[in-house]
Amino acid sequence: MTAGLDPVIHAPNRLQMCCMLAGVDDIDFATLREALDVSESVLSKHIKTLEDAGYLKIRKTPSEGRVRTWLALTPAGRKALKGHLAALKALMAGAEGGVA
Amino acid sequence: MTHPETDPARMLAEVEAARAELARRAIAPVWYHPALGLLTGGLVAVQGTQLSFVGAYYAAFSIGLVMLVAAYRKRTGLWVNGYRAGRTRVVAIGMAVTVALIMVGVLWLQRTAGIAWAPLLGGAIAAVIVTLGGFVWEAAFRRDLAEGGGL
Repeated sequence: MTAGLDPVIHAPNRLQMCCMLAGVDDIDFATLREALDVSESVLSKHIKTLEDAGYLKIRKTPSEGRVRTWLALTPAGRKALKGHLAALKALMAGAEGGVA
Repeated sequence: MTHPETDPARMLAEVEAARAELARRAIAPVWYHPALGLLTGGLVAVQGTQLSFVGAYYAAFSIGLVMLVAAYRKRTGLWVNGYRAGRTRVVAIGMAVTVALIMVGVLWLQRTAGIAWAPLLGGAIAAVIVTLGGFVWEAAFRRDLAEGGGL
């Protein structure tokens, strides 16, 4: 893994998840699954990885007779995403500098 | 050849796609901002009336806000704090300060200048400002997302 890139965030689906979560306070499981166009099991695996790293917190609320799962980025997750994006931009700038 | 997951251009394109998808989803129902505008306008309009009526309106206002948030969450599947960092914070604070100034202004006009209908006019102005401000806030949110701001 290139320096500065966070291996927890780097997988494309998790990077997209973190970017969406960073833009909101929280988002529900079904909406995120639909937005990413992945299966429930795939999303659950990514959630577990991010939760184990302390980057994501889960809240469950009752809604019309069923439980709705809300996901939010933690301050640690937000900080890690910022660092990861900065590293990606630096890599990009380096690549462009190399080409030019 | 660059592996897709180590290609920064490809990964940054994924980031942009995620933000665009979020911007597409974070759109309030068309009645949301007018409803918030009416609730806020009412808050200004009841100033100067009997204290018990003001208290009852504050309770109704709080219930209305909770219902609006619940409806937004149900419709969009997400929630965004109005005071989040970025341009959105400037818009939200600007609206809050403007409504507060209108409230102070109508109280002054009513109590000092004796203009009894000042709260009604102020309420109408506040309702329009909050309604339009809501749409401005959404535009600011989309722009923040497109530029990667407000993280």
